[in-house]
Amino acid sequence: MSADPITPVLTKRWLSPQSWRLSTYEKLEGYTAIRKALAGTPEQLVQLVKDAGLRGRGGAGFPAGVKWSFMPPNEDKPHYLVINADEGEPGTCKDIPLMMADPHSLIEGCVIAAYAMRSHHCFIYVRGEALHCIRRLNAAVREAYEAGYLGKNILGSGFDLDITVHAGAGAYICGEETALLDSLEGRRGQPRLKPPFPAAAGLYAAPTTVNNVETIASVPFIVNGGADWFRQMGSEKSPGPKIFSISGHVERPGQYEAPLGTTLRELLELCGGMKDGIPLKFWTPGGSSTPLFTAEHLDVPLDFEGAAEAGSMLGTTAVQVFNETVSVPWAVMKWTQFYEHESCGKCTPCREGTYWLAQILERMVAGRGTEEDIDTLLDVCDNILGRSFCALGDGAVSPITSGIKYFRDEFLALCEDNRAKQELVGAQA
Amino acid sequence: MAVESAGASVAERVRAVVEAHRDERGALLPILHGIQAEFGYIDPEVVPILAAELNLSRADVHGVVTFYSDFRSEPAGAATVRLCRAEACQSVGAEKLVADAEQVFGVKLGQTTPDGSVTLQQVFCLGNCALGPAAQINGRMYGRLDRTRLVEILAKGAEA
Amino acid sequence: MTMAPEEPKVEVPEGYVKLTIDGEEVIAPKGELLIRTAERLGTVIPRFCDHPLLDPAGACRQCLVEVEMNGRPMPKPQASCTMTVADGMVVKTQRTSPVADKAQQGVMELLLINHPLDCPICDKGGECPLQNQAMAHGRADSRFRDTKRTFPKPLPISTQVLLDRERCVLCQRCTRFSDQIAGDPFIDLLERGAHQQIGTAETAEIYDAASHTASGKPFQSYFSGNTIQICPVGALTSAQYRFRSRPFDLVSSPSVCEHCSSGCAERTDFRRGKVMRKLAGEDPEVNEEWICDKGRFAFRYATAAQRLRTPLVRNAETGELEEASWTQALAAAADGLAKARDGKGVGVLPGGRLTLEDAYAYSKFARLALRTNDIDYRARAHSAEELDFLASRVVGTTPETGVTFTALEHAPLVLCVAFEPEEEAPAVFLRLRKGARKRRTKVVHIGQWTTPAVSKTFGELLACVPGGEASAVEGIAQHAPDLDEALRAEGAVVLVGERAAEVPGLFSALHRLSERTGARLAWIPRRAGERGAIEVGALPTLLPGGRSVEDAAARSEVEQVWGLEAGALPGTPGRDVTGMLNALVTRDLDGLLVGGVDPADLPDPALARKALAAASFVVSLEMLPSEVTEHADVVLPIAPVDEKAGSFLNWEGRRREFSITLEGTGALPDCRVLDTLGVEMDADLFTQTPAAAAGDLARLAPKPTGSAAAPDVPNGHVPKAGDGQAVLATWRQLIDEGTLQIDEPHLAGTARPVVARMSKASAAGLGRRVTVSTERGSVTLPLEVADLPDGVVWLPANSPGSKVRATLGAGHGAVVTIAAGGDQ
Repeated sequence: MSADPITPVLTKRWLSPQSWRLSTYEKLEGYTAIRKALAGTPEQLVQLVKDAGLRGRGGAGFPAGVKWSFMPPNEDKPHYLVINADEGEPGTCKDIPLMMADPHSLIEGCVIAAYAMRSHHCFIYVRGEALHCIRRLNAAVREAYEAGYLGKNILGSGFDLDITVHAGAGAYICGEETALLDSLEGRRGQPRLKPPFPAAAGLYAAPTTVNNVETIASVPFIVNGGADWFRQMGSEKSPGPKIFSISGHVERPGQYEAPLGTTLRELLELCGGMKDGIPLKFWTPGGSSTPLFTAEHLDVPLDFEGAAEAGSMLGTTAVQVFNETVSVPWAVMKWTQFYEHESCGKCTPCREGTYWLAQILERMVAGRGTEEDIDTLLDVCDNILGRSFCALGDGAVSPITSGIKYFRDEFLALCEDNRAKQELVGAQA
Repeated sequence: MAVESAGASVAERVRAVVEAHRDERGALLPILHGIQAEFGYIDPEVVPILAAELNLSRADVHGVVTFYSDFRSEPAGAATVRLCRAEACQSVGAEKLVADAEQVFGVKLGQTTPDGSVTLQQVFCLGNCALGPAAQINGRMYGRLDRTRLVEILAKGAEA
Repeated sequence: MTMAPEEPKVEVPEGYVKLTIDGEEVIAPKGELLIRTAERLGTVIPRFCDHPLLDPAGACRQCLVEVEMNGRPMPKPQASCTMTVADGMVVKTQRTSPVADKAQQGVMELLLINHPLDCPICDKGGECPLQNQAMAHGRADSRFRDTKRTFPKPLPISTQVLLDRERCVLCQRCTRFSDQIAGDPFIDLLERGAHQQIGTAETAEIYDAASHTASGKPFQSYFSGNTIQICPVGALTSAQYRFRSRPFDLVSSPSVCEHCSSGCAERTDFRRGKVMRKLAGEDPEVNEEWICDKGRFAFRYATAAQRLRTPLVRNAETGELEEASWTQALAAAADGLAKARDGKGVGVLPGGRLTLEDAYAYSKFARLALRTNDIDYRARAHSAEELDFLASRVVGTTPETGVTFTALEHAPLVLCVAFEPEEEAPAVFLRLRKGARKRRTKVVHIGQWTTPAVSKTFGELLACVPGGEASAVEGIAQHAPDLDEALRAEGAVVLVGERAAEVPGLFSALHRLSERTGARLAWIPRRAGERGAIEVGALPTLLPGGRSVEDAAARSEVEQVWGLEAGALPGTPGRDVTGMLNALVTRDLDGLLVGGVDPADLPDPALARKALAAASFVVSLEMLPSEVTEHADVVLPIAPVDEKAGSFLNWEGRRREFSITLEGTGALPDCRVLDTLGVEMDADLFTQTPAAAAGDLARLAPKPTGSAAAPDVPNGHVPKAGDGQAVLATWRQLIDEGTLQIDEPHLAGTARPVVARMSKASAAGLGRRVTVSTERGSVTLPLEVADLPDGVVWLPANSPGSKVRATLGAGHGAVVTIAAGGDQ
């Protein structure tokens, strides 16, 4: 198999008629990796994924093979594989389309990953809002059971696996892996103290690995293509293909598969460039939790290292593109309102901080801000970043600090409008 | 006692939902989804029954219900329209669609029309960013919406 | 060669690590949280959610510090309340790290943006961790210019506890306490994000009595007051104390709880001669930092309008009690008692609520002034078998030789027999739950139904018919071999409660079980004064220090210490409570000296009334009027605990001393009154003050136990109920109609529902209410189904509408008649 950067891997079946059917999947190499995987040992699979350098596609980029190797080798307690399909990062739409178009690639990945981690029960935790996706996954799981890809003694291998599709209920925080586990247990989805880490005590205090949809869907391709093939794509430290969801002011928004390390300039070519030719003003490389980029960053390689070196993060590769018609303070306010709404409330910095930040930004956008407010915003952000219980707080301040960093003038302009208005009122009095 | 007589059948229906998930561990969320499917919302009256069935405290159940924004404590309209207001959809006209919807139905986001026909809700990203403005109407996904299409879809839904 | 001064090498013992905090090297036990290590060094890191007895949460983020591991600084400040020490760790607190200092200031500012500025009217003002830390570390002014989050002001979450959500900083100490320590998750986090709040599912329903009995867990807790005490802001307040005082107006005095036999450490806060509140004191060996709501809130009895404050003497002509001077009253009492003594004699009923010193005065008064062994403090069901048990297995045990709270927490197995820990000794319950939660102590209960305490100690119930406990214990070897094996494990404990006196053969069976398996046996009575009363000889068979009245050598020891002639002390055992009452009725006894005893508590209240009426002379030492007062010839008012010094011996045999809280009220302790009365009768007790009494008692060092004969009574037959009958199971609920709980309506509102319980089969056909009757009377209560054996009915013993002794004249194990109670 060659590794032409343009040849799609993860999305290769998406345009086939009824791509989500088992029959389509089987026609297009589906469920071939599972046979190879089940013929080998769990240890071989973990090593293969380590060798391939597959990094988590949920945002943090932790090496998947290393994560798998944390699972205890014994089976004193049941092992759980949990798929994080709570895709809720604003602007991110890669996992839901993947599960809609090619649900069996996820299921096949689950079987292989579960086998590698000696797990016999896998939960797919799907965002509650994605009802259409839950229906489709359930149908695909049914098909897989009927065809013997799930259940007892899969393909005569002696390996058993059950998959439960679990619907979330509207809480962004459940994308955080330990909050997701609490939610799966039927509780309020608030993050847990770590340690213990899920591999030691996760779901129902049993060894658990939580992986992102796209990560697991990549696994069958690695099993079939091998580690070297996988490493031909992307960069040295961030190998493999990636689904970029491109939205906003571009001609053809959508999901575009490209190797890690692709730049926005290249991505814009794929999606037809800026909509109506209006120039780019700012963009997020990986959802609203990742600090903003501007036109300066068109050539930043979008992989874990490249995005970080340029002062942001790869995140979920949710590329949201905004043109010059969009006010940065307004966009930042909208994002902040989202984080305020979704803060789980557990810790002080995130709960109280997002409450405060949203109010300041709302006041500024309404034309009642002062220059002092900009300093307060930055200082409050500083008091949240790295001080909150989980990463939600860190994500919440990204748009604000980066927005002010690159577009301070726009914030100042709002304050000046305010001052002008006040002077006008004073003059009239 | 009024509560008792009205409660009898409610309690039976609640127990039936619980029974369907009896073998599952930590099944509170699936059960609450089931209750909402059964009744259209989660009446506070249901909380003590669930608490008793699941051997949880009422505060515990109430705490879970109120944590997740999908669970309603009041009945929704015959049709539920969830409009995406995330940035991607906003950049392609979601805010105008919200304003239009509010004007057409005469209610604000989060409200139900007085005749109980439509509930308007906001949602942050439906994962349909490429086809914004997006909305979920009675559980089905729609993209590239504008005022005309929204009204059409709801009118069709009413006929069906 | 000169010796270079060598760097002193700090040895790190096994199980310890060495780290550096603010430049100082420190050795800390593995697993210790940074916040505690720093505290040992004298650096207090500010915190709100952290509490040493609760599981770490890391929620408030107030305690952030900088940490360096293996020479690499961690990228973010770390919560010192969740991070454990590690070898080579370098920690910088706010003292040395500008980063930690700014992080802490930032969190403090965030906590304050939504906190109301109502400190001047807040109960917590002056003792508020948030206020104190804001003053010490916070900014002088707030940068917050926008709208504060508001909630309607306070929300009752029980009749006693009020919640002010605006003040709450969501540290979750209260919810974690309720969930982890008490096992009553009646409050929880609700909503999300900035709207997150503490609350119950339906606050209004607290006032709806029906909700207490409906399915689902009721949200009352016997421990709710602790949530108020550990709240680091003024979000939780008590109806009792709300707006009544300011911390800086209060004087605090360490005290000991006077209610149950646990002897919990308390702090009593008073103002201008009046107790305003009681708080849990700290004692890691006993109550740690918790007390029950009865211990916290039930103290208004001492200020009740009806409190006796002047001596009363009955006017021989009018038959009425009249106020008298102490001199008159003491002379009248001495005169009457001397006459009765010289006639058929005087019996002494001191009651079970006395301090050690006061009980000693009764014991000595009985022997010296009344020359009798007719003394029995047991104002409850009792038996001769129990006397043998107390003399052979209880008296003289100490924390060094007997079972302790700590031993319960570490025991691999605790078997509770005829003992309801949450109702009878709440601190014991908390320790059992802690052991079960943290150390996997297995708790087994021999009782009648799965009470809340059974569930909350993760316990196993071995259900038996009331009165059948002895047979159940005897049957362990045959029917529960696992339990039998577990009882043989090192550290296994058997606990038995006061109810055992109602089950013939039970003490004997427990003694044999303990001998056979090696399990340690402890007796946990319900009242604070019981253990002390045994030690000082307020029993018909024992003299102070566990000396048998029948042992001539022991008697002579006591005679020497007391300065008596040889042979002065009577050598035959006296009558027990029932014996004395019978003797009064048959005129074989003339007089009675009564301490705080309520006839309704006695095994046969009707007999007690008859005896009181028949007695020719009755002296009552009381704080509040009772049925005894109606029959008393002389009433001598005595002091409540807050107005005297003294000590209780708790069930462990641990001395719990307390000094006087309210001085100069003029109220006298029993020991002083008896001392003076003794002088009037030419007997010198040397108990003028509690200290003097204690000094005198100390001269009678306890005699080692083991000499007394163990109880050896065959099992009584297991009661059987016929048609239309049931066997009665009954015990008291913690919060009920007890005399010491008067004048406290907010506390009464948190009592458990007053219901009867029967098995599903036995309840069939009875409808919603059941009437339980004997030839004496009947009790009708709402009926709830529980997992009792068939043919058994459970009633709360002393609750509104269910006064079992007083109404039915029956107790645990009696056969009663059952009928439908109507639907009302």
